[in-house]
Amino acid sequence: MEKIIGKKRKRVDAGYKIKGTAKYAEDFYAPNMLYMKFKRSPYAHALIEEIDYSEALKLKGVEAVITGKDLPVKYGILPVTQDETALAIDKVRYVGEPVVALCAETEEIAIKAIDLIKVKYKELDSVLSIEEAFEKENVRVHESEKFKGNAHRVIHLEFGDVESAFKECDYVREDIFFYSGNAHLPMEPHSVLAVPEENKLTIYVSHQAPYYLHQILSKALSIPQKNIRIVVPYVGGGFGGKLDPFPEIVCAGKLALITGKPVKCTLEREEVFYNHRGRHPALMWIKTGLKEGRIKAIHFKSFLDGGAYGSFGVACSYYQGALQTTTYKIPNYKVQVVRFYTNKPPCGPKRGHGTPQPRFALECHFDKIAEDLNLKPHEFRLKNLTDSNFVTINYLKITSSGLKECIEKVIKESEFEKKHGKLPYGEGIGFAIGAYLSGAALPIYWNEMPHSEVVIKADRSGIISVYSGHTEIGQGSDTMLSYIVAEVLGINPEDVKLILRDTDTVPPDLGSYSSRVTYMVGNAAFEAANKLKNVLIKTASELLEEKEDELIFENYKIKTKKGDKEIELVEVIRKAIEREGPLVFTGKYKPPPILGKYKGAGVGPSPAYSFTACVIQVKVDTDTGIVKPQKVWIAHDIGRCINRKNVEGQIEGSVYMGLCEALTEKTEYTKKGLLKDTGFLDYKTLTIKEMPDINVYLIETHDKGGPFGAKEVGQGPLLPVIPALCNAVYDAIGIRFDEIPITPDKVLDAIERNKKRIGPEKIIDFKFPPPIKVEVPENVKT
Amino acid sequence: MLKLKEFEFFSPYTCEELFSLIKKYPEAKIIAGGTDLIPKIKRGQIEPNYVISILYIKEFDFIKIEENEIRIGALKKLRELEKNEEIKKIKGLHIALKSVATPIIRNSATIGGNLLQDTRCKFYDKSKFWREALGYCLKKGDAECRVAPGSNRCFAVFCSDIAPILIALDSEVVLIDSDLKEQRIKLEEIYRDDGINHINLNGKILKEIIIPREKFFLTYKKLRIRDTIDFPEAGVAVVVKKESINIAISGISSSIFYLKEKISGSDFNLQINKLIEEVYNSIKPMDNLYFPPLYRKKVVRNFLVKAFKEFNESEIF
Repeated sequence: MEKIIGKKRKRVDAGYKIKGTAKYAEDFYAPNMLYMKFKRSPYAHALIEEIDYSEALKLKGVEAVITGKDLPVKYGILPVTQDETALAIDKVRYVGEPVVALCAETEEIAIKAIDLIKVKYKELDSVLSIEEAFEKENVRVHESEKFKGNAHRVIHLEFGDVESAFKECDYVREDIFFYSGNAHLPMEPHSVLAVPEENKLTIYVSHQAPYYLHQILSKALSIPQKNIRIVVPYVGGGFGGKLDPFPEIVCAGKLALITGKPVKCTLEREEVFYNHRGRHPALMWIKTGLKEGRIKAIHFKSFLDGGAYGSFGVACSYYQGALQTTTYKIPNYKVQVVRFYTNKPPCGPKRGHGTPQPRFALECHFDKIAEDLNLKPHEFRLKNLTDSNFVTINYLKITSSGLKECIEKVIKESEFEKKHGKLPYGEGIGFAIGAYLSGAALPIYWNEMPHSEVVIKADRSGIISVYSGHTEIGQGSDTMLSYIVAEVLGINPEDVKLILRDTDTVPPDLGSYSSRVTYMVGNAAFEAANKLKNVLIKTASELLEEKEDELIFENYKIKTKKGDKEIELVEVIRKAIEREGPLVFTGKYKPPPILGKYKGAGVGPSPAYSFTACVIQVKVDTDTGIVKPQKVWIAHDIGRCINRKNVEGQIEGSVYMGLCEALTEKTEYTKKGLLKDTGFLDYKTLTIKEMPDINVYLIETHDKGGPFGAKEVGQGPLLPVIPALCNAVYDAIGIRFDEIPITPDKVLDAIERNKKRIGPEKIIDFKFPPPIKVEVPENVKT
Repeated sequence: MLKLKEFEFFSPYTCEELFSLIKKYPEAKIIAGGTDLIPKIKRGQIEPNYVISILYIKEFDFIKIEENEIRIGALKKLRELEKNEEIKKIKGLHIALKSVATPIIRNSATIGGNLLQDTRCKFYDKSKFWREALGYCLKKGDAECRVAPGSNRCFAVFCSDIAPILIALDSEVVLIDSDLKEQRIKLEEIYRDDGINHINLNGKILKEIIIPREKFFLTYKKLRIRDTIDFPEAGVAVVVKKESINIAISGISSSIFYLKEKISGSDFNLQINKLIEEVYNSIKPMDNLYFPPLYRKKVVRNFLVKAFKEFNESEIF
């Protein structure tokens, strides 16, 4: 069957990355380059009274200094939240916020010069938590006309009628959960080089979405898009942390324009923590009503700690309530969400984008419900699963679904039923499921244009080139693209020439976010490659005097299926060029229109959903309280696996990230808003020594809309890991941890004090406006 | 990138050269592998104008296995020690050696450097920007202690993995002075319970470590959230010799906490239980590392219980 798709082959960028020849943003240099550094705010909330950089300018080698007034235009990644400037204007809103940017001949001079800048502040009271943001209404991070206090976004949606539904239930349960904030930790810090040329500012930057950045930079710098060029090399990890238009990108551009010289800035690790845009801390409440073991209604509330600016926060807020319905049939559903501004580095999109928190709450809540009902955790899930080809109550169209097979696979392979509730004290096993989008159905800037465009070219030397604007952030997107084109045309993926991610030369792709690249870029590439294939097959059929459907592409030749005739691919290409002209074809992809029409309906829809089930076995060290994962079984409905090794790596990486979020990671701040852990030694993540064996199972449901049937794998597998871990800890020591991370000191304390549950006791008493009531879809009405 | 400040760097080959440089630049910092000093210079915690490397002084780099003692030069790299066959036989020491940082760091780090490392504190081991935003502290910046406001002493923590083991083993050190005279003292004597002046060398250089070879039970238990890279949040060394019980703990004070008792002879387990309670009540970790202080105390107690359980099961005496 397929020669390349689904096989274990190396990535097309493996050689470059291992040998160190792969270029990342920091590797770009230019003659006369200047180095940029920031002066950052030491206060969480303060008025800027005076900035004196005269001493800095006197230092030999310092070329230019800018402050907020040099970049007054407000911008933001989402059209609905344009609340940022590159440098603080009038006041600072978090410790670490950039206030002054300067550039100098060397990094050492820039560092010295920063110390010579004097900024006078008037300290203000700050809000550093959800509770404080809510209670201290008069301490305003932003002045927003829409809501009192620090509420940035308020959501209240109701599908069906939950109150009436609860009345008909024979079982109702409510729980409260807390999910800590955390960071992305890409190995490569943010880096940018801005090079000014005649009429063109070229930005070499480590970024996930160059085409969005292109638009926003134009606004922030007040120069037309045609005079800006964005080039993105390999990106050393993003995880959502490189999607925003960061201050260093805007400032490097501005300083380059002012000085006429290239300006470079690579952030230190501590500065990456200040850029942040990481996981929103979430305080959540959930209430579920059942009748005869079937879900009748769910009411969900989430309070988010958004940090000082909006970032993707509004989208994250809608995602809090959007995807619960993809795994469970919920006939009545109410969602209430508030995102608060606080005086901390802004939160934004991190792998999962607003879905890990509610999924953690849901799966732990359901584990408790299953126990109440005397059902095994998976039995309760199986009674309430969604199906394939199903429209959810919030208008999400599920196409293919292998959720049931994923559940059955991990339950079987882990011998779950033999172990659950039966292992010796200190050992336990837990289960959870999850689902995720294969790309958001709507772009960030609403329009009807394709989300991905790909150009393919075959030239007379036989070289197949593919032009695509997608970003390779380590997820293997270059490889996915090469594999698809290579499979269609019968060549090796390594020989697909890639011309990539340059806003001047290459057609756009919206970016690496919401797990859209395989599905959308893959489809666009598939379309383009097939257009080329059709022209070549037509030419070959004439040359070989065979019917088109008798011919196959294999190993740089076009041959008959019987094997009796063949012709070199390059010959066919040359002949086709003679007959048709240049062989240049385009492919595009735009998701089908969304079904929902209510406000907020744009967040959640996707052309396809992936599904994951996970079982984790743990051992708790009762001397130290350290939870040690022993083994993980994880089954993922990927639709179709394109590169087996890469996919398994993605799933293992998700398990790693999930275990870190569940066990060690937290972004915490002192009473004055200083980030407590500013580097990898202090901010704890697991290492290879803590990682358990991971058994990966791929369930292939061959989604009709995906390229070769493929769906996503970059974010979905993360989701069930955290709740599965928490459920395993309960099975091991009989203590429910309704807040994460489950740190050793909490475990030891809970064991010693015979606690049954560790978690938040209450949510906040926020007064929501009346809900937007949404008419339920036809198929759900019954 | 964090950049080193500029300093003058010297690299003497002999003790004489070394001491003449120290005399000329009394505020100079001594560097061996640099795994402790360099990050602190990069973060602006230590700002030397002169740095003297002792890496090339050959007299300090040796390991001699003698009948009654093992003698190790202060410059011996931790990684070389952990691979030494005689050292491997001292299981607890081998475990402690392998638990320090990571293999790559241990390639450069020396045993002398580990024993003389700077004290640590979450308010101190931070960038200059962060400490300036905090308002500095007693150890650096002439301000108030951030862990114990109003305190007149610094509580930064001593976090060596090797020191508690060596102290529990009754090890000695050889110090050498500017007249090249050698002095042999117990290792615990070079430590002082003060976060700023925790090392008491009186201008001498640490030359050699001497571990007595005898029959003993030794175990080392290290509290940290992951199985590599981190410093001990409590590093518990327990040694039982024919006639004595030695307990030494790092990561909970500015020096090494230790308790040495003769085995009373009557009820061993009763003595152990009393000892464990005494340790638990005596140690006073502060809230300046990663884990809360009370948790670290509890884990120390649990580690001690487990250590003595292992001793009883070993039936070594």
